[in-house]
Amino acid sequence: MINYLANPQRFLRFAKWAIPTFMSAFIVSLLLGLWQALIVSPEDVKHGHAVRIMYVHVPAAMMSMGAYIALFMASFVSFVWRHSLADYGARAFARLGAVFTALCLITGSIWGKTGWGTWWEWDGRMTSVLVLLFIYIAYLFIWEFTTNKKQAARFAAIFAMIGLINIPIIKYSVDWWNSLHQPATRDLDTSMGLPFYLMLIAYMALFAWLSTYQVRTDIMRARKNRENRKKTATASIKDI
Amino acid sequence: MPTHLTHQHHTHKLTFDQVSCIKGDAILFDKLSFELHSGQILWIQGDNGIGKTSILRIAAGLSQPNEGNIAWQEEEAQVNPRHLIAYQGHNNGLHHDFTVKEEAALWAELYDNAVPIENYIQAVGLQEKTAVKTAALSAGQKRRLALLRLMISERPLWIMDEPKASMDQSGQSLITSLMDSHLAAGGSILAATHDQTTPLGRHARRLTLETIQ
Amino acid sequence: MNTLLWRDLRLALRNPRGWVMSVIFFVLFLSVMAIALGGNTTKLRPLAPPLIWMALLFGQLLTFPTIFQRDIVDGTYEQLHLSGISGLSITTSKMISCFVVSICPLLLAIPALGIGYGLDKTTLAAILLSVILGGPAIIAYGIFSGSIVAKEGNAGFLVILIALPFLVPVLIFALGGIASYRENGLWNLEFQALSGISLIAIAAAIPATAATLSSYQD
Repeated sequence: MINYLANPQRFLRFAKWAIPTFMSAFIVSLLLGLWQALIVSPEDVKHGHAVRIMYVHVPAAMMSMGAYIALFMASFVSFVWRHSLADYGARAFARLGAVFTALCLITGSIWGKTGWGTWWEWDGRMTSVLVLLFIYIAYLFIWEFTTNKKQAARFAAIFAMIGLINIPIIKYSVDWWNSLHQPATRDLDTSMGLPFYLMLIAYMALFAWLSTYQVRTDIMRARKNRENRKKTATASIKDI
Repeated sequence: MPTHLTHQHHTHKLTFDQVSCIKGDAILFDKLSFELHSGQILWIQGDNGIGKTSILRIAAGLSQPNEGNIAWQEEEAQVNPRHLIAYQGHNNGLHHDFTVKEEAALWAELYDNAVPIENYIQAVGLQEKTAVKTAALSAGQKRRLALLRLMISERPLWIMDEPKASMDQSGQSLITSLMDSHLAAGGSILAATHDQTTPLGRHARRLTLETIQ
Repeated sequence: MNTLLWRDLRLALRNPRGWVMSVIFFVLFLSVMAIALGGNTTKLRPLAPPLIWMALLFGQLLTFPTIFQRDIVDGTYEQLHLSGISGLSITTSKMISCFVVSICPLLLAIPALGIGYGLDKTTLAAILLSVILGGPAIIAYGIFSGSIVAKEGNAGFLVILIALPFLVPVLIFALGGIASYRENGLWNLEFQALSGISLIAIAAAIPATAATLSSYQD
């Protein structure tokens, strides 16, 4: 699969049908999911309508981690085989991952206000998601900051791989730290029903749609740069 | 160069096979091929920014070409470029905070060269500067210290970027005599200058890079 | 390797901008903090471990933007490479010299600051131990982020952004270890975790830094 798509030509052919497909999948599952989540599913006994934000929050939390795994895989491919397509993909995954992570934090905070009566609680899960957001930001800044983009691709890929080693360590350390000063705060039983799965599919389709779109844009830009390439010098060798 | 400092080199060969290099939207050179054997010098001549340094860095194994192959051989066997090459770049690669003697001693140790460093320091004419920090040296003296590393390395293929830049008259003749004895000892040289008038080495081949109008 | 380590140590000691600055920053930061918090030792005592760790983290991270700058810009890194030295040796030697030159002076400064913060011997010992065990992780990720920014100026912010998220577990277990030192002694669970994290950090950062450095040649 990776090898197949590593060829820009084939990727463009794939994108031609994949982009509309992912986009329609996103729209259909989002509409169905929202209808299920907001209208069909019942209110929570304890939390009332506020529980519905969970249908936005939990898939976002799952995608924030899923996007990192995609970022890691693309970075690995970029590091080992130096495919520029993997770099385009990694960058797109990181941008989307950062957005999902931020969305997860915002909806989590809104849930916190209704659930715990406060916008922010240094709860183990929220804290490790916050650190994950910083890792995404650092990744994107490495790309922005490094002048030589060939080097930026190497640095970003290495950073993403080091990040993967650290994420579980951060997660466990924060959980341990959190258990010291407060008991577990989760009291909600999120039943993983139909609306949840529909929303998760919608997120995944959005992720696939936007990253394919981004990679296609990057390929076309690179192709345009290549067309503008000019030969600047001739070389000749002779004895003197 | 005094004879006790000349190291006899094995036969070796550098091969460029259809090498291309692309920087941004410029193709610096396209399908460049040449061979460089023991005892030979190839002089690359061209204007600034035309790709001379890129050729040298690719030849030194310090950058990768966009296309094509490079082979480094010693006695017919493929070797790691690091066994063959000493590189004098545009940067001298010196430590600001080291004195001339410390700098020379460091490279002698790293290159496992047991010849007393004083001999080399004398050979490049820095014997009065041994206790001076490299940061305080003049541009020409820094170039001399970088030349000293080429000698200490005892590597057969010298790659030199603008070797005569900022050198005075005696420095220039020092370079010429060092190059001659290196070639006579079976070494080879790949050197680049923008200067078209003064050829490097007596029996050089010249690779000219010319701008396409 | 010895030649290389000796080179790094001499260079680091001769460039006081690095290690003198980080010691001065450390003392200055903690003094200003004590002033800001009212200078009352009963109030300062419980805050000393987190404040000392903050001063340690930021003081150290300030020295890393330039850690490889000279080597890369001067061309000494590529000369070392050509002489046959591996990136792994270059990185390892840098780490050891950093630990000697910038963590060791702090081990002397901490007892002095301990007087100002009214710390007893036990807490002081725990803090020193946490710095010895956690220091290698700070240096490992600091050197890694320094290698990423070696060619760019004004990189202090990026170094902090790259290294700090990875250092969150170090901070947590260092402070946890200090807190439980009195009850559970020297080799408490938190300090064990801290040592483990330092080892992982070294194992991950050495090859990563070597790989980053080698991409400067493309």
